[in-house]
Amino acid sequence: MPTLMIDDRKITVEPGTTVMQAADRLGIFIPRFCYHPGLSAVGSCRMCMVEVEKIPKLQTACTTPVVEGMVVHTYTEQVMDARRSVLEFLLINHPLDCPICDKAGECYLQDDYMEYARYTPRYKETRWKKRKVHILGPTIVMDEERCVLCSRCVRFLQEVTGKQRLGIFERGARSVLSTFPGQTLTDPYCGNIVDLCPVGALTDRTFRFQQRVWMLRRGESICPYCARGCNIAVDYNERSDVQINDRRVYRFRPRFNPKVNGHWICDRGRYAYRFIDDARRLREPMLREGKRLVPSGWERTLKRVARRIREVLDTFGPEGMGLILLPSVTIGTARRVRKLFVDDLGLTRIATGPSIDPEADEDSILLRRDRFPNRGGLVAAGFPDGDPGAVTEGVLRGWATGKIKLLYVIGDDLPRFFEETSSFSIPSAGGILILQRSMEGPEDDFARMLLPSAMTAETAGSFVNFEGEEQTFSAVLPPLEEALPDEEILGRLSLLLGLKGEEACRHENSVEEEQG
Amino acid sequence: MKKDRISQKRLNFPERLYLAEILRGLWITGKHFFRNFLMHIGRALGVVKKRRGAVTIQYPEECRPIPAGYRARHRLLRREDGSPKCVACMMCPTICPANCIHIRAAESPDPTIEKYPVEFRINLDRCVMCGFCVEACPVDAIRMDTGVVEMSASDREEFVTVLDFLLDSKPAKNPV
Repeated sequence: MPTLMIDDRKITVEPGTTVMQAADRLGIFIPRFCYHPGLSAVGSCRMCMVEVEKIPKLQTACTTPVVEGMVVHTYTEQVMDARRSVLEFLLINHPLDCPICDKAGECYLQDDYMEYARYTPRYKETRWKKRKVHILGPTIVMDEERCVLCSRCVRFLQEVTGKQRLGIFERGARSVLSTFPGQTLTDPYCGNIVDLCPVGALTDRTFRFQQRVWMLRRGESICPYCARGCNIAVDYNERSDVQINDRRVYRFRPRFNPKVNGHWICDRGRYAYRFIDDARRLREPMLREGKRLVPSGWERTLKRVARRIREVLDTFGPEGMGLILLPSVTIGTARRVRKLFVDDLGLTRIATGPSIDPEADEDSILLRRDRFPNRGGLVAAGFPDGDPGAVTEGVLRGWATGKIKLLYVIGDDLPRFFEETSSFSIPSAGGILILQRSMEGPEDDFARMLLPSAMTAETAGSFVNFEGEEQTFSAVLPPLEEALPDEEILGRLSLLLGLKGEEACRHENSVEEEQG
Repeated sequence: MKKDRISQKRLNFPERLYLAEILRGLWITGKHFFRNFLMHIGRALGVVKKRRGAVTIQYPEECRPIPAGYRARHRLLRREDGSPKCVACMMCPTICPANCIHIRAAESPDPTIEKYPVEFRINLDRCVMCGFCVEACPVDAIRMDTGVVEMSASDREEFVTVLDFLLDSKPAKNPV
């Protein structure tokens, strides 16, 4: 275990660690462009130069392994001069686009220039004009002038996804990053290269020009779009327009967690940020009156739901009611469903959503075939393990044949679920379908009651991912308009059903507060 | 006790009697009254032609000229080809202490411009006329030199100035 000194601070690290990693562990920041902890170190940008005693020349911190007794200085005159010179070199062709650049506010070049460089430029020659808008793929757009050729994106595609589509072409000052001829960036992970880019050369076409990063607030959540449960940061604006008070989520970005997703997230999860403020979100509780669904407020709707449940249970017994709980809900919701519907009401026809779709794409990086984030959590809450598909088919068959008079569905991503479950149909016998979820769907036409629930970013709870990792998250945003978290809806419902359990009492207070 | 930093001038004896001061005040008022009175009669009879009829300004027919640096209602500048000079960098809404500027940016068809505002609203209802937006603008696209200081409306919506209106606003003609 070599021990070394960095800026007069001692640290002992494993052999093979680089100076950069040791400094990061000490909290000493060494500026960098090409180094990224998730990629191989190439030492090409020369920004991380540090002075090592007994070595006459400066060394790149990202590629120099530590040696016993090493003494490193990261803030000497010589180091500062090197940093200034590197920045002067990088800024030869880098235009001062900060007002229009999407990366302004989180750009390394901008930060480092303010920190180390502020020089009078000496470059007198004509600057190279390159392509400002070079579309690399459906989601990525490239500005060749801004690129500092750090090759992070090239290495990402090479090392992480294994599909090399990017390369650096031409020589010297003419060098540009581009895709190989005839190829476009269609990788399911290529959104990560936008986060990776230390400057604003690669930008996201969906985020481009939408919002300046300093206006965004960052919240931490878990991606609910597959069984992996990647850690994400939710960048949102509380009031994108002060005059109309609308909040909006602008992007999802990965959050480092070595146990789950490492540094990356897939594009499916990344671009799911759009669902949160989507026009198809359910905004208020609805009741069917005649042919139409009409907004009717929480109290009235839930009273109606409770009355229908009571009627069905009294007439047909617990066999007359079915419940589908999709594994997109939190463990807390699952526990509450178990207490309310199984323990208190005695329901037996409970299903936990379709089985895993064998045709969905899955890879060895992050994507999982199972699209639901909390299958493990449902087991933890006391729902049976095993093939959930067969049970769900059974409940749906019971519903289709009219044995189940009332079907209560909790959880999101129903459109996909019903598309894949062919046996779903609407019984002519006038069964009651109650949907508790956050997005509109084609089944809404058959629903008697719609209960808008909050999305993952709007709720607190925990998920258990496919590897058994339990991850707790808190609410980033308040629910959209009238929507409520699933737990809250079920708490209110259990009160109306006259079931005052321990948990229901807690919610009773909150309901009273609101009424008062 | 905090010491009063404004040192008051001590009144001398005739001033402390007040009588002389009252008369002096009456003299000033009366002087203007009779001057206006005679000048207006003179103008009505055609005797006085060159000089003004009154010492006061006949607002709103007549306005005082506005100094060159005076912060009046905003306007946006255009490029030579007529497109807005603004690049929608959002510096002005960022600095605005009253949160009265709203910009929505979009990709410009011209790749050398890249970004342009499709929506630019200033809510004059909220604006505190601090001029920070003008200071913050990196491309000199916004100015407060229209000379328009009288802003009144019967509806709140009328206080919201939009992109085209701001672009079409003209600078004040002859500031002092």
